[in-house]
Amino acid sequence: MHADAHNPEEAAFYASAVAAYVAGDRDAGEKLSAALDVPVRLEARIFLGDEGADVDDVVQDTIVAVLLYLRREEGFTGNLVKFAVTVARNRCRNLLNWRKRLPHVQLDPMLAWLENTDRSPLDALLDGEVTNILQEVLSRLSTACRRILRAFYFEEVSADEIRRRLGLKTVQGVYYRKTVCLEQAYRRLKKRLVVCSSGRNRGA
Amino acid sequence: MDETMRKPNGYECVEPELGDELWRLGAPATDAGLRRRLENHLMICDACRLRCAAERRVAAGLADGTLALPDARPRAARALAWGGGLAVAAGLALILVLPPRARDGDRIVRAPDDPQFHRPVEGEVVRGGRPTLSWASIEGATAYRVHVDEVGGDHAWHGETAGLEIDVPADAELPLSRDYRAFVEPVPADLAQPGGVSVSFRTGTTPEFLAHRAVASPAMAKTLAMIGMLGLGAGLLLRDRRFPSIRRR
Repeated sequence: MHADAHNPEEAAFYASAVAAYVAGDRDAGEKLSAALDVPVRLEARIFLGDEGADVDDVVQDTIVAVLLYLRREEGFTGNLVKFAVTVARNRCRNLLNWRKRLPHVQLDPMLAWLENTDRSPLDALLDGEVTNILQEVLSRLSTACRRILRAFYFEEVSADEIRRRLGLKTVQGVYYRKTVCLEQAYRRLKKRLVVCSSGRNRGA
Repeated sequence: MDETMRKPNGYECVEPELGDELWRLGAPATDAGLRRRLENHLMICDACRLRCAAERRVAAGLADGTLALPDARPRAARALAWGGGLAVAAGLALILVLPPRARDGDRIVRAPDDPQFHRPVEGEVVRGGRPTLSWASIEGATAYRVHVDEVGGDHAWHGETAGLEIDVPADAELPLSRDYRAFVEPVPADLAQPGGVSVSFRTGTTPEFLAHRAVASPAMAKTLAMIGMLGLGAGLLLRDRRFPSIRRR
């Protein structure tokens, strides 16, 4: 069975289990956990290989996050298995990216460094690197995007004034465009990071 | 799992319908219910959290001055594109309007004030089979007799006019892609050298006509079009791009 598959029987099971769980039924939570464990574990294994501890961590983390989400949302519409599996894949990526950036470094000794709020030379170095990449990304944005971001963050012009400048009807449009521009920057940033990480892999 | 899903940096939005609405989180007048859903979405969606973190970093960098939004070439690029476009248009118009350069070869070299054909010029490829022939006036001539003979063939036409140009009529349309020689003879005939004034030309299809113009047009027109194309290309490469749309990851 593919992890994303969701037949009518399964759909009915998940719908009733989610409804019961949201209503406060603890057993329903257990049933959901058990049902989601299978496809989520399968996906995590495909991503991470058979590394028991990491797979267990991802599965547990994913199921807890999904249950918390169901509780907050007070329900769920759609394919819960697909949703949970996608969450799991992202968690696997987090883990892999962490390892790629700092290979052979155990997480536990890093805790002290992570928890320490003082800035180390390493922090400054990483900050500088990130700033350089971000600056490069921003320099490649379209003029229209530069204008809107400059108006937002440099000139601190009101959204209504920007709306007027852009000839838009609603302020919502201004926020949408700003997000589109940041999204554009983010896409470029992702591409740059892929290049950086593959370069590191080759060097390792 | 397809290739995209395997990529370590290919984070996926867990609910794309909500992820696409995330921009509303920062916008005023967003419905409270939607705002709550978007906040919940952010808590579980690593892809969107990462996106927001990057956006926050950009915003913070811009606000505190560690990042800049330099002005780049847009006006120059636009001017370049417009100028280039205009130059291309002008160059192409000149290529089509100006007479092409005459081909040297078997043409009889005459003094500039000798009687001669204006159009077609020597070696010109004319479009279609009904060219307009025109020539310089010959002092004292009361009319002109015109002959068109196919080179190496038997097609021929002749006409007479009191003016300085004549169209080949529809019923004598010249077959395409063949070479011709046209003669104009003044009346009375002794006003010009024996045999009159002649020019050779070729009838062609539109592609043949354009190909000939591309080669034989005045250098000035071709240079203008070429510079225009370079300018247009450079301008478009550096152009002011409009807002893109949000793409689903």
